[in-house]
Amino acid sequence: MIRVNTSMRFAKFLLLPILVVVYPGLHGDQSSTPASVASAPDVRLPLKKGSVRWAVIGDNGTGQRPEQEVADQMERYWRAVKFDFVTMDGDNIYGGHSPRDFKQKFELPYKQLLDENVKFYASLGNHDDADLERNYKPYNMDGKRFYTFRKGDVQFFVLDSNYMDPAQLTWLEDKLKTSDAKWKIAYFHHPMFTSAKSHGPDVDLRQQLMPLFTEYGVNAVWSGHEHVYEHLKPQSGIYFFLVGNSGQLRYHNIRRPNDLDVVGFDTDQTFMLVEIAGDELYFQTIARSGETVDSGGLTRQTSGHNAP
Amino acid sequence: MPLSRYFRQFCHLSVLIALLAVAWVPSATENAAAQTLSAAENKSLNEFAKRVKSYISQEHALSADKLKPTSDVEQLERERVALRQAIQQSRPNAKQGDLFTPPIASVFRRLMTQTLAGPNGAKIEASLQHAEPLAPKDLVVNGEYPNRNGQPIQSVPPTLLQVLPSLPKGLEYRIAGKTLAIRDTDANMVIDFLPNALP
Repeated sequence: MIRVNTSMRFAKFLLLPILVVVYPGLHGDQSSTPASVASAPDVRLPLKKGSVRWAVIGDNGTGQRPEQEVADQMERYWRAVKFDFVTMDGDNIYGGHSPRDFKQKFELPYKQLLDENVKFYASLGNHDDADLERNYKPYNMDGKRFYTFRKGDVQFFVLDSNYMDPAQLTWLEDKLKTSDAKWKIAYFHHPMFTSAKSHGPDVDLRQQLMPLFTEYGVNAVWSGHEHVYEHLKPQSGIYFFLVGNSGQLRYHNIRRPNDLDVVGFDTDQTFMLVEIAGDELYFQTIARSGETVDSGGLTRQTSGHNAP
Repeated sequence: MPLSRYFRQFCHLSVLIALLAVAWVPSATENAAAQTLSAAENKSLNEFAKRVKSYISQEHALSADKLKPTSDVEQLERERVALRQAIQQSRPNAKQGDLFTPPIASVFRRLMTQTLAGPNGAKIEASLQHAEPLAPKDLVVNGEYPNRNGQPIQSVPPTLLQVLPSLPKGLEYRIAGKTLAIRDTDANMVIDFLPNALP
C-alpha cells in the first residue's frame, strides 16, 4: 500500500510536470497557458505601407481546444498586423461535415476574424468533403476545386492535390504562363518535400508540379498534411513551408537530423504570418503558446521563365 | 476556270479545318492514347467514352439543382441528396460493370498494371501510400460515396490520372484499396467501380 502511494506521488510530482513540459498540449491538459490574448504581441514583421499581409493555417479543423487557442493567437496578432486574409492548407474540417461541424470547427473558432471581414481561402485536404467545402461561401472557392486569386503584386494558385488530373495541370500551366504577378505562390494539401515521418513527401505530385513551378517562376509553396511546422531549405530555388499543425499536432514527428529543414517545430500547434513588400517576403511563425518559433525574410528569386 | 479553282481550294481548306477540329476534340481515349493500345482496346475505350457521355447527358437532363456557393451547409447537403436521389431514380437498375464492361475492365487493368510496372511505378506506389485508403467493401453502385463521416479520401496519383481515359467535368476516378471507382462529384455518388483494378 505504501509502495503504491509512493509510486502515485512520484508520478504526480515528478512524471506529470515532465510530461507537460515535453507535451504541452496533451489532449485534456489544462495547464497549458497560452500567452494572454490581451497582451501586446511580439510582431516581427516590418508592417510596411501597402504590403500584402496574410496568415496561414493548415490541418486546423478539429473543433478542439488547441484550434481555438491558435485562433485566439491569430486574433491577437491581427489587432497589430491587420492581415487581410487567411490561406488554408487543407483538412479544414475533420470528421463529420454537418452544419454543426462547420460551426464548431470553423465559424466559432475564427468568429472574431470573420467578424472583422478577414477572408479565408481554402484548399482541399484528404479529410475535406470537397463538394460541400468548395461551395461553402466563407471558404471563397467559388465552387471550384482549384482556383487563383490575386492580392496586389501576389498571385495565389490554390490547387487540389487530392486529384491532380491533366485538366488541373493544363489549367495551372495556362494560369502561370499568363500571370504577370511579381510573386507567384502556390498552396495545396500534400507536401512535395517534408521530413515528417507520418506520410512523407508525395514524389509523384512533385514529379508533375516541380517542372511547372520552376519553368514559370513560382516563388513559394505552402502545404499541410503532416501535423508539424517546417520551414524547408529552398528546392530548385523555390521557398517551401509546411503548416499542418494549426489544430492537429504530431509530437516529435520530424526526423532529426535531416538535411531538409531550416526550422522544424513539432511540439505545439502553430500558424504563420506573411508579409510581402516589394521584393521581400517576411514571415513569422507563432505557436499556440504565443511564442515565436521562426521568423525571417526572403528575397524574391529572379530565376524562372516569367521573372522580369 | 478561276472560279472552280477557288471552289476547289475552298473545299480543300474546309476539309483541312474539319480534320484539325476533329483532331483537337478531347476524347476519353486521349490520355490512354499515350500508351500503346490495340485496335480492340481503342474500340473498348471508345465504348467507355460513349457510356460516360450518356451518363452525363442523363444527369444534366435531371431537374435537380446543382450545388451553388452558399453559407448554408444544410442547403448544400439537401441539394446534394436531392440530386443523388434523382439520379438513383433515373437509373434504378444500375449495377457494377455497366461502365466497366468486361472488355473495358480488361483495358483499364492492363493500363494500370503496365503503368505501375513502368519507370514511375515506385513513385505511384509511394503516392498511394501517402493517404489513408478507404475500404472498397463500402462501395455500392448508385450509393453515396463512403466518406460522409470524414473518412479520409485516397489521393489519386497524378501519373495514373495521365494514363486513364479523361472523364468529363462532374465525374472523377477514386481509388479505394485496389478498387478503381468513378464518382459523380455533385451527387457524391458511386457510378461504377472496378475491383482489382490495381495489381
